[in-house]
Amino acid sequence: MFKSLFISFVACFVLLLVTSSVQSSGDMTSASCMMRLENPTHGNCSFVVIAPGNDTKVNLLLLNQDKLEKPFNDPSFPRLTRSNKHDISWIGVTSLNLTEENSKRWHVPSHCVSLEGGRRDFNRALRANNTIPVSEKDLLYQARQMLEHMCGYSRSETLPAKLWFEALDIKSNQGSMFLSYVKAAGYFYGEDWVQAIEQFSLISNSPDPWIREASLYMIARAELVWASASAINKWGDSLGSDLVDKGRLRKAKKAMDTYLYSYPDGQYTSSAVGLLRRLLFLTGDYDSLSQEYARLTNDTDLSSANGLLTLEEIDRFSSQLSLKSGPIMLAVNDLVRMRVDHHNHLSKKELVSQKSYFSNDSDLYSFLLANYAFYVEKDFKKILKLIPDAARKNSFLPLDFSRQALRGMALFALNDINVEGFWEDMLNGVDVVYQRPIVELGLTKYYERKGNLTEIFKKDSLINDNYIRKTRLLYAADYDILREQAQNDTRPNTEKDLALFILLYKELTRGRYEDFVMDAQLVPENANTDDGYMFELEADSNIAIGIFRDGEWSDGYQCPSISVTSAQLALHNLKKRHAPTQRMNFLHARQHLRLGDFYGVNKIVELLDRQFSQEPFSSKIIRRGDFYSNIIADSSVQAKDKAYALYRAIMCYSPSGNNSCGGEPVNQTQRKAWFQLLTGKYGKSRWAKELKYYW
Amino acid sequence: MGKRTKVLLVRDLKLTISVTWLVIFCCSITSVSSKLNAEIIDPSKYNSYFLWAGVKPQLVLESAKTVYILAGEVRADDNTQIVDMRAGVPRVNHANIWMTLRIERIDWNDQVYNQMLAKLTRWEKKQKHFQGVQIDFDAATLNLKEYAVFLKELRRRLPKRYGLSITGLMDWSAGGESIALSSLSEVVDEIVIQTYQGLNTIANYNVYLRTLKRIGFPYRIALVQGGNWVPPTNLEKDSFFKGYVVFLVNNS
Repeated sequence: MFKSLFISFVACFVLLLVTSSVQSSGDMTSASCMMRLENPTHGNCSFVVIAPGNDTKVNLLLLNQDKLEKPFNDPSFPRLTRSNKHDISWIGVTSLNLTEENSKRWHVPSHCVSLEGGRRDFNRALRANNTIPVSEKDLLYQARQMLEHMCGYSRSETLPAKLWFEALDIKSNQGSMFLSYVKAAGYFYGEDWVQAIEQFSLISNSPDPWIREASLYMIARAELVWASASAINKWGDSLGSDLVDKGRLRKAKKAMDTYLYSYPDGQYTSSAVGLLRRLLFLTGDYDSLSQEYARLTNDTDLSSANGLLTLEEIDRFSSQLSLKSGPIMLAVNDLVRMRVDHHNHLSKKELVSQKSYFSNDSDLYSFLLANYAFYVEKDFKKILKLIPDAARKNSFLPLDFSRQALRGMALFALNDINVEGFWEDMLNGVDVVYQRPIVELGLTKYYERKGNLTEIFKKDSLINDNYIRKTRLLYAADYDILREQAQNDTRPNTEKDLALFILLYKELTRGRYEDFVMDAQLVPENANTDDGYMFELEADSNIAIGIFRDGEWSDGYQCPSISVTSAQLALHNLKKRHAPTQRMNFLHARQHLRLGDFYGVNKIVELLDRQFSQEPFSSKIIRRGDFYSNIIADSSVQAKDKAYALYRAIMCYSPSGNNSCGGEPVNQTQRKAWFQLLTGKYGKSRWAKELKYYW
Repeated sequence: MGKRTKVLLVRDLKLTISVTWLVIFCCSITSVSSKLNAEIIDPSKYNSYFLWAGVKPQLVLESAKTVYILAGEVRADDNTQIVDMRAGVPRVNHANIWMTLRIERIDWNDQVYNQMLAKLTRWEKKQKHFQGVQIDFDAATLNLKEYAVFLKELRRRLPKRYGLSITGLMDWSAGGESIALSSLSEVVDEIVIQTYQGLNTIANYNVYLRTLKRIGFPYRIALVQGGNWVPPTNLEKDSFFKGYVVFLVNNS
């Protein structure tokens, strides 16, 4: 197959892409793409709920699949995401569904997209031909292989020399036809259209059926590329359809009609139909082009790799299409124009005036009106009228689901008492992979508004989604929930570990050492201690829970393990509770220095900068810098410990002069005084000798 | 740098026009034009130009001496391919032509080098005075040393008949990086310096230009059509100064 020739259409007019990519794209996956229900504006985040903020290509795909009544769990539904946040990026969709060959669409000249597929077809036809001797076939395979060097697929781009071809020892009649085909294809890929057309014409009556069909088809392609090249000026710019050589276009049309007439159901028919769109574009016939796009979006399954590429093509031209482009394209354009920041914002009047275009798609139209009510008018009651309750179903097609989700969002916005029941009803009919997380998020938001976080984590909770639960463990759960979830064997390890990690981290940094000692027993032996965890907490990766058991605990100072240090600190806390006035002794100072090292090597300080879950009651975070300034100020601390505290306190400002340890920062005069104290009074210590500067 | 911040802010728009250029353009348009000696850049008074994607060719190009034409991009999200930015390969007989690649990353996959070489061959065939490739590295952060390593590799793979030009920014001379700059000059034939803040950077300018002169780095200065420019004194006498290049923009 000459795959995806419609691509050439796009690639050739790549400049047109400039305007539309700004409007449509959600191409860059974004780390800040939080899972959410409302999606008012283009923020690079798309979800399975069709919405103004979705990438237009995602909306187009969802509506196309809906029109074909394909549920999400249909085997041919394209895979949309692997993200644990359930966001869909178009790059993700294409990488999940396109082949490597498809992805070459951007960097080869447009007529070259068929180079590899063409070789496969050539070889297959050659194999099937019984009249050509094997020795000749081998030469012909090699000859066709030579063309692979053209078109930028490899370094050199040497046109196969004429002499080289004629020197081949091909004597059989049909063998020479195949050789002529290679020669013609060489002219084609080398952009010599005149020669290509002439050579293909010579073999278009060949006895070999493939040669016959392929050469007719190639004549049509060559004519078309030639015609479009006529509108490219000497600077490599396309001058637009007005300046295309009309005579050439007519020839191209004729050649294409000839092929399609001879092969209404041929090997290259679908490609030729794709080329017809390019012809329409070059002719400037946007009405016909819009009608063709209407046919494609409404009646054709765009879920295949080629379909997705066609979808990209349609999306690029969407803003130039007429109203004849059909309800789906119209809906996608309307939605994008509901974005708050859209330069051509949709007016209510215009939306109302479009009613007749949706006469066969009343659900789609009322969905558009409801989106307008939700995102533009903020009239949530209106949505309940536009979208009746249909939450109790066995399954939801993409549009059905989007409608009901929007109704759920409106109920939530209205603080309606039925919102919980509504989402619960939906749970019975949703697709587990794509739709269920959205409904769970609706429920979660309801629980959160009620202040009822335990609903999420209770036994038999309806909230199963890993990402929703993990984000709540990170940002909302209290100590009790964290401790319980750390031991919840019904959940995946990543979730349990995250709960335990946050629990231990908070206990340690809040000075709750007794609790830490108890809860640290939950850390399994040989747990992961990789310190690259900082940005991985939300992701589905191994949590470095092991740092609280076997992590490094010394950065210069002689320290026992964190278990021992924390136990000593716990003991100190206990004693202090019984004798609150007791001063810090040198042992306690030493424990803090050890904890300081632990913070340093395990990046605890960086974690402190992140906003984690709420505190059940206000408890002060004990920062590393505080350890050192307290020890420096305490006269009971032994000299070598004081020297280390000074050394560390000064190092907190290396090399930028900013405090990297947390705690109240001090000015440079103070840092200088520390340095002088360390190198003077404690000058003989190892730490004084190690430090040459202060910052 | 302020400019870098701006680059990050508008990056998501994924404009075809280089973000750097956009910022340069905005800055030079908005800088105070009432300053003495400021000149509004009129392309017809120059002879070398940048022709970016989406910019309509202007009449001045017909009498151009040199034109840098944006051919493609290597984008931040994909180091395996050059995305084509032109409908076809230019066919220019009268001017020196450079094929410019705007790149957002330098960790190129082998395939990208091969695509570049194939593209160069195609361009070379259709120009009468083809010069070579120009790299416009448009990144949020830049480590000159790493960039020099990349350019060395690119040069190694580039057939000798092609020239190698780069675009550069004024702040490259800051932070004691003149050594790195010097290592760039060893592999690169010329640098086209972008004057991104119009009038306000003239002071640093002279320091920068002196650095270039010291290390013997032939340079050109890029200006933006319609922007402001106060020529530094004695520039024309500098033997390493090879002239101006005007970035053409569409009339709005």
